[in-house]
Amino acid sequence: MKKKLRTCKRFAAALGATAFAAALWTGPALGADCPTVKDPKGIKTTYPEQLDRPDYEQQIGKPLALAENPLFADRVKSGKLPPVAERVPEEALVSLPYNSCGRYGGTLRGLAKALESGTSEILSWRLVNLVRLSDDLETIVPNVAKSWQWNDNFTELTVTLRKGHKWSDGHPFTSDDVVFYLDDIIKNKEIHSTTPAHWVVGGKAADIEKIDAQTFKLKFAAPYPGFLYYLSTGGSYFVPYAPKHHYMQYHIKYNPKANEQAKAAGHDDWVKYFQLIWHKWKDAETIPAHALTRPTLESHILELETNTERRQLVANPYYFKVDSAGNQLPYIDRQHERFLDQELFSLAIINGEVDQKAQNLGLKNFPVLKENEAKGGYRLMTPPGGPGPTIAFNQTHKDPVLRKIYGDVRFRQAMSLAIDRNEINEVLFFGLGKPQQALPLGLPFVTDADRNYLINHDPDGARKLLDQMGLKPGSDGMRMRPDGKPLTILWEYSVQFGSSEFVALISDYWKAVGVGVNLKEVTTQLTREKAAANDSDINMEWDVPFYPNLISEITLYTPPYSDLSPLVGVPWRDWRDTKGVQGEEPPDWVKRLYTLADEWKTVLPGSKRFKAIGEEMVRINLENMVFIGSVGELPAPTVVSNKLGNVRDWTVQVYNYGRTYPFRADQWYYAN
Amino acid sequence: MLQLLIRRLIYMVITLGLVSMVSFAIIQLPPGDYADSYANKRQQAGIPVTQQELAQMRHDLGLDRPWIVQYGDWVAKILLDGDLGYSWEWRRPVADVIADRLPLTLVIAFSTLAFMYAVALPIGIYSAVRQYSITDHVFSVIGYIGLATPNFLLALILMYLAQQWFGQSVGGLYSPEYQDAPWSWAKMLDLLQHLWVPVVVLGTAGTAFLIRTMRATLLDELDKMYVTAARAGGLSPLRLLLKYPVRLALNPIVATLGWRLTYVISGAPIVGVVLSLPDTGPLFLHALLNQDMYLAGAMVMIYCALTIAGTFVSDVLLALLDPRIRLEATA
Repeated sequence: MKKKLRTCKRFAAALGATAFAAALWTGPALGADCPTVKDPKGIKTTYPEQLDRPDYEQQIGKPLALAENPLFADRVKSGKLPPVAERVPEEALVSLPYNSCGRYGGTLRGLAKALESGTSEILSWRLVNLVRLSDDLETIVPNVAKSWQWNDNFTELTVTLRKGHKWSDGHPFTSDDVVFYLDDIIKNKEIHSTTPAHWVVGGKAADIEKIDAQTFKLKFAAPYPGFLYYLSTGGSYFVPYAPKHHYMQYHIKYNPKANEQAKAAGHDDWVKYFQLIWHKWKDAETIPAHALTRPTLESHILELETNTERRQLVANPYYFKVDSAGNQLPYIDRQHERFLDQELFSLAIINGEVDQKAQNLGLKNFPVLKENEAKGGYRLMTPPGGPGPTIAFNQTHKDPVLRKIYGDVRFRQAMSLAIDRNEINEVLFFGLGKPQQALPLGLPFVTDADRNYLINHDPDGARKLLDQMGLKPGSDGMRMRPDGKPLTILWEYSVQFGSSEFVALISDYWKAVGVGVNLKEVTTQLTREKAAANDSDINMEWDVPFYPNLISEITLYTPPYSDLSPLVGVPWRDWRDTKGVQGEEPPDWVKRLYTLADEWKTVLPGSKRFKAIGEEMVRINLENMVFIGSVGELPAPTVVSNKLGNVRDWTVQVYNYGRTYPFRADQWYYAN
Repeated sequence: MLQLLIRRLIYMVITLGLVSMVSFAIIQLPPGDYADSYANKRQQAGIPVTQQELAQMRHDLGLDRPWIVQYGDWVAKILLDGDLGYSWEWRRPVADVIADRLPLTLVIAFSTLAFMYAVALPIGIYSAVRQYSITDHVFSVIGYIGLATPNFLLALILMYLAQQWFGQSVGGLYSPEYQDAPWSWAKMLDLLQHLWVPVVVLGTAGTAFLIRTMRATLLDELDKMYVTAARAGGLSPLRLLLKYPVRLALNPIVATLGWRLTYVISGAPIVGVVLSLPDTGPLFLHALLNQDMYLAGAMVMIYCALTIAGTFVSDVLLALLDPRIRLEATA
């Protein structure tokens, strides 16, 4: 009897093992049939790491057998869902996994601060858009769009979509959805009283023309070659299409009763209701319960009504990508986003409760995260996450004496030379940053010479420059202004842009060369108000830290460098905008920047002329020492669970690069 | 008595109205508004924001109107439709947001109250009866430490210990796997495992205070003649203790029950924030930081209502217990 029981047990164990193995190898995957990035097995791709299904089938010489995620098996069996072959587009995107074809299952757990605070990282896990930036951070590759074609002067863009592509409710996705987005949402005056800036080119809103179900043409009033770069980086979160079949019933143009229905649902009018259920920021859409019925193209769709504690998503049965073995992506069944106080992030990570996290982790947590890597079962990476604190002197200060001093390039050079960047790096950033000038991150045409321009710690050189300017030291060693008053910088700073320790260290360096500093901590709000009123000595809010910002918004690299919080040259901008009526005439280098910026907008990113303009703009800003950099390329601690497979190391961890979007979270899987 | 109750109720409503107005005004006082804090968050993430976008947002949310108009609008809606307004931050009606979280706040508050009395009364009685014994001194020292330790510090320490030694999940009142699970025995246990931390943190100072009060009043009673007389009459010591001096010594404690509730409610937000509890604490703080006006206003109202209700309960209890107060109030 006892023996029998044991045999029984062994049999059960074997059965379990078989079941386990079956769960492991879903579909015909793996082995010889799974070309990957690591081992492409002779598969050639036009764009890195991906190709279209017809092309792939031609190369492997047979139709691709599609495999079903077991998660959907029940619904397919009961007829609630068509089989995978009918859900995946004929022209599906075949995604070559990084290392191996994965297996299905699991929940990807992440953290955010609140419903709309620090959520872009998790949004980027499931993100899709017409195009995507490849993980080389340079090539734009097709995604929702199958292909595109510019006309010669970059005023018309023809985009082709994928045949058979469907929304997550099974309804076909066509160019009508793009037309609806542009004509009925973006250009609708009730929803947007002014057309959002990215759709206004040459002073006119973009136009769209439907060619057929899969093809549409965008027309711009002026060349707009940076458009696809915007869509694949900072604009990747703002998809230019919306499910027309779903939103029609809420839109007054298609449903004359929309107003009454909105009021019946407890809203002021159809516009207010529409703005609640449609939002350009896709996380905002997932908040009202309505989101459970709203179709999407993303890899995961909302599973439970969002509350103040978590957002939970489940795999999209109509997702348009498959791996090279024919398994429909995504591999991971669910995404769980927990809202937690930022201070507890590192504790939860150490506890092994998080599978991937970077946003808002902060460099200060680096040591404790590193120390507990083994305990928490994760890998800690340090891709560049942003620039260090940056200082800009107000060269058009209201006080004429200070204006003369701050406006003198020798003064700004001296202030740069006075700073001991290595010490700052060691004291404040664990030596993990790179001492360098302030330059937008990721510019392909910036050289080390640019980064190292006047960054050596040379207090004597600084003193010499200040002496040349005639700023004589008084009896206490502190320098005097030409009018005999002591030279004191009033530095009103907000800790949002530089910690109190940073500001204190810098002012000590400056005091050492005889320049007085008065420190005052204020709110970000106040720094912005003062900056807009041209009333501050120093501003540290820098809008242009990344290459993608530069491509899509070059005006942010010319005075006043920010709309919300102008850094330098408010009167110069006014002079330009009013054609000389108001403000004051800018110096020649600023006029040159304005001219270059205008031309930059018309040139294809990456072209020769584009680089030449970029180089000149960098040089002008650098030589005029508009920004004084401290430490750059500050790493963003990035945690990823050891259990996840096919994870490519982040080479940048930044909102403006779409966070994880270039690194394809849809082909991650649980390896063990 | 009825008259007293009615008058009290009227005062309560007036107080609530005034408080809501003052708090609305105070929330508006700091520079900036919801649009600014929204811009802040965007800029922090590296997303440039333009003045045009902010202007559009202010217009959409009605932030470009003077605060008194916004307030009037809000109050009118509450009075006419019972509509607490809309939370911009959470993109849903304020009532829904609070309903998500208020039950847990109340669970924590009442658990804490129960904890305080359950611990403090026996210890207080024991300390009084065994005055100057070693146990009395030990309890006194612990009590003083409890009184003197700031809540947030205690919260951090306990949270660390719970995580380090019991492998408990961080923050919140459930482990993540139970967050969406239906109610079950396992979920209940999981809740209890997490609940003790905030309860202990919130209850410690109050417990210490209650122990001292109980001990002091009971000591006063124990020396009185009727105790000696009863003891001489042969009553068993325990029966005597519980039946007469303890009952009398309970008076000040029962009378301050309402204040305790107030105390727990007002201490809760800080602890909630430190422990990242899914109660109203973090909600309130973030509403204030983001100037999410209607949510912040509604939260202030609810906190005030609870505080006023606590005071009201105290008043009623005092009036019931003490005829002098009752007479004075009705006179």
